[in-house]
Amino acid sequence: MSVTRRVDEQKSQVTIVIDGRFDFAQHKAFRDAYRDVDAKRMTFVVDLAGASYLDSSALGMLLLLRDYAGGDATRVSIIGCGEDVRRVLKIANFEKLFQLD
Amino acid sequence: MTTCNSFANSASNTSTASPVINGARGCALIVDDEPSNRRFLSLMLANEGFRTIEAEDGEQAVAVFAAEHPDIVFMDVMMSGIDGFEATRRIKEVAGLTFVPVIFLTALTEEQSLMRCIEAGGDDFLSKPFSFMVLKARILAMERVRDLQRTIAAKQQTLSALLEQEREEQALAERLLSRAVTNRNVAMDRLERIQRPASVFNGDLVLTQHLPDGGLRLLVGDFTGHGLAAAIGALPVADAFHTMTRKGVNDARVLAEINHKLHQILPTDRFLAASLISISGDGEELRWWNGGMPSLWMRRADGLHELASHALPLGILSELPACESPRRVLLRPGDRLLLTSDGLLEAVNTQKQMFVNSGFIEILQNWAFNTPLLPTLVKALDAHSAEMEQTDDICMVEIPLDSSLCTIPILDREFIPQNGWH
Repeated sequence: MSVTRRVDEQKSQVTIVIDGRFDFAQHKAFRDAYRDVDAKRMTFVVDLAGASYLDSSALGMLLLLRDYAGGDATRVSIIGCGEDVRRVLKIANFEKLFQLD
Repeated sequence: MTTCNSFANSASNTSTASPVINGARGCALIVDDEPSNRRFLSLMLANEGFRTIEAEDGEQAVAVFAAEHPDIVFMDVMMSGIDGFEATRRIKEVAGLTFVPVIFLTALTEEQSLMRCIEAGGDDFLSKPFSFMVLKARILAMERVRDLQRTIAAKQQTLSALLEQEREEQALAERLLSRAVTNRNVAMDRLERIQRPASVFNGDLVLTQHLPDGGLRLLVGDFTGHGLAAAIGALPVADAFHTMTRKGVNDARVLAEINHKLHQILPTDRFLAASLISISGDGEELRWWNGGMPSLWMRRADGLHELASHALPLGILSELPACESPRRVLLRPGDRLLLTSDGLLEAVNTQKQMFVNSGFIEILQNWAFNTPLLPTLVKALDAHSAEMEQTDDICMVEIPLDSSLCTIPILDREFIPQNGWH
């Protein structure tokens, strides 16, 4: 279980990588990964390739990031979803709120 | 019986060298069948600030211990009657959860015997003859352990009391909340329903109400998270649902109103996944809307139909997108509908497999037309999640979609008649 981030200044992009279960235990680490980022200048990518499971509080955390990024579907992308993670995002219809790969 | 002995008291009273107030360190029980040993130790301990009491054999030791509740015990091993090992066992039983250190003072030296001291419940031992300085050090160490244990025990007691109070308050709040939310529900006896909350409060929600044309509307919802924070949002939802349904307000407007309310009151990361269905008063039409809930499953004569989530959960956007409007199905006799929350699909077995990947689909595929599914489903779930702790609220509702669900249209209305349909 971990949350790490990579900042690409050239692309003005912050990538947040989730490994293991993405649930309420990651709340603080996930928020810490973006709270000091200038949301006007940067866009966000959440990489869920290593995430084994997503619960509804993880969906809530994605909504907080979306809100932080300006509440616009184009500013947060979600990439690398496995079958279980994709199922959860699809049921919640989050493709309407985020760019899903 | 030797009780708190005058000899020790008088000894320490006459001792001008006594550095501490007599009895300030509590009461010490000395168990030894040799009077001179008792007297010697008693003098030393009195000088160290202990009040002392004595016993000359094992039986007396247990009786004195029970009557006087000393703070520390010094135990000889070899005595007539019950020996020091047995006396210690009984003393520890009397002490229960309260930690009273027992230090063996023994002439035995072989390791086997010393081991027996500890096995009998003793906390430390000293081989006779012992130096007074060593005894002082051991007493200090034991007092440290005892004080730590007392601090922990006191905190544990406070914590237990608080937890108990918390449980009672939660149970009361749950009772009030669930009654306020569900007491307006109708036709619940016509639904097959299983609800299993993961905590005292249920984040899963089932609401039913009749429409003015006699039809039935049902909402099955699942708040983000579970517990009190999840359950409390149910109040405004239930209020809007019941009031608007009885007035015949259509599905889309009820959903818009609930969405609006939740968007106003819930923080950004909280929402309500929900399914809303309405059955017309003549039992001929079903209208359904699924915002973020697992697929609804409809078993009809021609097979199984999936009513998948086509809308966002409620409370996320300030207004619901127009394209997410409710959909219609014409009903035929024998149709049945199953609604579930994700707690059912994600219930794991001992191999960490979710129910949705391990049996659920097969059960759906074997669902015979016009027969109840829930008994089979619950049996399979129980077998699947045996020995596992439930981590999310579980909810299942099965509805026979026939006109027996509906009621006689309400004739006496103050408002303009609407059927909640158009």
